[in-house]
Amino acid sequence: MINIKEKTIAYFVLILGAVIAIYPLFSIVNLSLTSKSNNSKVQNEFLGFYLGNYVEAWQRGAFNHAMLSSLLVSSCVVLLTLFCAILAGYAFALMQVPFAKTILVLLLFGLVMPYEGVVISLYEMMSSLHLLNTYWALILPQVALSMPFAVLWLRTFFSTVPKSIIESASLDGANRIQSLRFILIPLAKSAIGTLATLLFLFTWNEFLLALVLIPSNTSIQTVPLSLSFFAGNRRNSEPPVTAAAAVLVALPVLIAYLFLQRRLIRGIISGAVKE
Amino acid sequence: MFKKRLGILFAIVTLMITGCSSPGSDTGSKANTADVISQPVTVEEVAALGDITLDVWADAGEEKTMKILVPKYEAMYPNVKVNLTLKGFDDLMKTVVPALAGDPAPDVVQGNQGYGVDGALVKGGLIRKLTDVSTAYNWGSAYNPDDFGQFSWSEDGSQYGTGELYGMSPVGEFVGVFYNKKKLANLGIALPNTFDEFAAALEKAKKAGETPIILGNSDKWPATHVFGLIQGAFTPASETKDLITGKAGSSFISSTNETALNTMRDWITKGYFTKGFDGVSADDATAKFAAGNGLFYMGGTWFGGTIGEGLGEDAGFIANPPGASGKHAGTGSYGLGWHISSKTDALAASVAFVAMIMDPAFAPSLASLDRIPSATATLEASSALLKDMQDAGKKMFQDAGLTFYLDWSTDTMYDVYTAKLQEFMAGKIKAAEIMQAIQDNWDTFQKSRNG
Amino acid sequence: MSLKKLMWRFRYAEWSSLLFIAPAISLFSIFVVYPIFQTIWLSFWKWDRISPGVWVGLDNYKKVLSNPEIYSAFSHSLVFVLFYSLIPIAVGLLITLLLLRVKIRGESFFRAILFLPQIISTVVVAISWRWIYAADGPINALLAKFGAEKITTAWLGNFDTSLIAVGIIGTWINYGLAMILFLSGAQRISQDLLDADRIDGANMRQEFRYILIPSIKGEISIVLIITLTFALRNFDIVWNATQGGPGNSTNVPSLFIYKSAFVNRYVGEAAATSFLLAIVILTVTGLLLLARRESHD
Repeated sequence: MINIKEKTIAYFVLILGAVIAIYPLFSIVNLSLTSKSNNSKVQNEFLGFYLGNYVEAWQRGAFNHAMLSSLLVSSCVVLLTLFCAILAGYAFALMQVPFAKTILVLLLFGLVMPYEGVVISLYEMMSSLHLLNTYWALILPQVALSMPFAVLWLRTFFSTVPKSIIESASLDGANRIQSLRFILIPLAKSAIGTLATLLFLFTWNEFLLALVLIPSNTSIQTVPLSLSFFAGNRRNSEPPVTAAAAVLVALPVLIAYLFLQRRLIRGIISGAVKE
Repeated sequence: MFKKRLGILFAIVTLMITGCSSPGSDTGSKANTADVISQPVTVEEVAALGDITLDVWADAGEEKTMKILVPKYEAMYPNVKVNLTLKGFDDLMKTVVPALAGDPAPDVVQGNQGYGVDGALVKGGLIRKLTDVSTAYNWGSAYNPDDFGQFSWSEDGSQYGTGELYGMSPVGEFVGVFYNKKKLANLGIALPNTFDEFAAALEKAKKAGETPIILGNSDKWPATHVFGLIQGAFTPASETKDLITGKAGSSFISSTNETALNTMRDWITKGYFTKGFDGVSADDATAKFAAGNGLFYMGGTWFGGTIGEGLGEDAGFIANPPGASGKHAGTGSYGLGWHISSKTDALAASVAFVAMIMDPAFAPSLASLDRIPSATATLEASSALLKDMQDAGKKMFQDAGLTFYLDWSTDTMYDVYTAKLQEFMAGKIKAAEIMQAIQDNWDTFQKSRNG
Repeated sequence: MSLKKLMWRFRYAEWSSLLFIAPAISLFSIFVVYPIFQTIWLSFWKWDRISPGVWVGLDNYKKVLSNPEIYSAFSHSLVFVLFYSLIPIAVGLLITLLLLRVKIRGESFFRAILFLPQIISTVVVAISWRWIYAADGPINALLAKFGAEKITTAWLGNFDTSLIAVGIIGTWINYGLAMILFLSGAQRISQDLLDADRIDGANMRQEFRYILIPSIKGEISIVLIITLTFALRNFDIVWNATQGGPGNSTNVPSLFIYKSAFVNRYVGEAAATSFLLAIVILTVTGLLLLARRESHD
């Protein structure tokens, strides 16, 4: 039996944990709404909140460009990775791939290998291919670096599908592609959904690759990079404006999270246990 | 099992390595050093190039200057379209060298004096000698030829300070002391003329409960400018410059530098600087001073705009107060140099661009943007603060007191100097240790340069 | 593996499966495997991206390993392992233990909030904490309110506090992840087992050792691997919060790599350092995976 005291402690701890998790966000939202001077323009107020910093951050930071870039890069990475990883995950789970173990060990290496290990060579590669400062310089390596995680994730899922389902499909005369297309992918919908969301988040937030591979083309810089430059730029030294920029940049992800969080977290928990 | 997999891995490694070649072996530069400029470039010569685009890379600080210059240039040379890329300072320093080594390379760029950037550009044969251009346009009479050393190199880039001219800048930028006129008067402190008077003023301000010096050092470099001022009061400017240009036998380890360092440390323990300065950015500190906090601010002339805007009539500026020698000295130099790529296929247009920036007739435009033209002609100052800065500049130039930037001296000095100075200021290391660290870095670099 | 077995493998291998894995594996080989070897290759050269490279053999490694800054950078990484990995895991375990018997209402609500730090861009995180730690930021305001003005400081700009301050950012990012995974794992433990246990008079420590730890071993090792690699890489947070300062007090290997490769153009030394960093991370995670497999058997 649980006594009241135990329950109170439990909720106290949980609420405290939640407050700590949310406080830094709360504090920059708070900062971003303070006006730097007392003679703030009235038209920038909304329901008593001062929004001038947002106007300034949006105008000076040109974050609309960055958001489009991030959206484009992340979508391409997710689609390309999913396409390749579904095929490979299927093969590793349900076919006799030659040298499967060796390849899987290599993928496992790739999973834990730090990006620092490849970023120098990627820079040289992209620069000799004249791809530096283009979307390709970001998309191709990001797809490749996401591959181990995606392939291993899907392989794990596909191998949990009961053999009887697949066998009955092949009795019906479905070939490999058909059984993948019409049976396995529909079954894996939620696993693929979680994977897609995670890949999207990883790509959207990736900083080091963007910093190295698209260093000087402001028109295709992704959101984290342009925010980092904005915050470090000598002409944007007012903390409230920087805070507003940070909030603006975090907003799309937060909104998407609001809708996806339940399934995302459930998916991660079940995925993490299976791995 | 495991051994076998290792074997496969090994096979792949060998395969891949044999497919490699030595890095950078294909960067043969097709330098066109043959064309010599003996006369100022004419409009016809540029027109002969046909419709072209001139790629120009500049520091973001040049934005306003370029807004005046580019339209003027395009009006004079209508066949040329200027494609201007502005970059933040750190970004520019990081990308300019590989950009000039790459293909296509920009035609005209700004580098940075010293071994880190300009030295690398000269050594790689990536920028063109401008000695002929200087002669053709007679820069020697419009500017003080003694100042050309900071853009001069031996042709292999190994010796700095003499030799051929590789770049030029039309403005001077140096560190001095901004002060708040109203506060100085309220505290009853006279404008300090010597270093001792300056130190006394700091003490008096501190006793009155005022922050004597506003400093924000989270970017690591601002404190080096403060140290440059103190160092200038003790160490002869020529000694510091010899070290930076790599003159054999130079040393950072000296009793005068030690005194300067200990003076700085003493000021810190007495609380003369902003509390928690290592956590304040340079821009926030400038903004604080411009909003009326503190008495003095040791900063570069490039902060004049912000401070003048904030303090208005109360903003004043003096050259670094001189020590016992009576000579003014401190951190500063010409602005970032303009260079021409050795691969440019629009040489006439590039020369015309640089020549237009360097033309003394352009100096009033520079002055109108609160910059300090390095041309020797005197100019009307548009504000009292600008007048102060120009006067201070004259004193510094007269005493040959601009001691450059210590980070020019080696390609990694910036990291060593800024980090060690922070450690020293925090009392983590002694004066002897920071001097030794700087000297070690210098010695190692000199060895690699000569060997 | 015997020859016979190998032959068997060859005969029964489905060679058509190679078509399925071709897109994934070729991309992976070109943009991950090949660059790794290219990095190793570059680490044997002295090269500045301008003049042709010079073969120097192991010189870059000698240089890197004789540089005291590298050791201090790696030692900072160790401190980050504590803050990014061990402390979040300890906190997560402790809370899970506290909540072992409680049926939590609104669990998904708490989960959503606790997971929040994981989804936000590290740049945004660094900027928020820069403000929290600022000389005139909320922490100091709070301290001043309680009359503790003496200990206010610019937390990220003080040699004595910067490393810990950056570490706490990592704790904040990761503790929610640990909590969520541990709590969900703990739900597999049956209430009957707990009740029986309690009747037997087991105290919390015993409960922790004999019930909680064995049942969420899998989750612990997953969290350990994720957070450890994060701690050892850790470029984004440091770059955007302190750039390694003040002095070199928060410098880490990845920052060192970035600076020498892309700012000072010591490409060979940077490549050598990144190879060393990769080895360290692979060794640590390899050992963990091995330990995990042992415990599974």
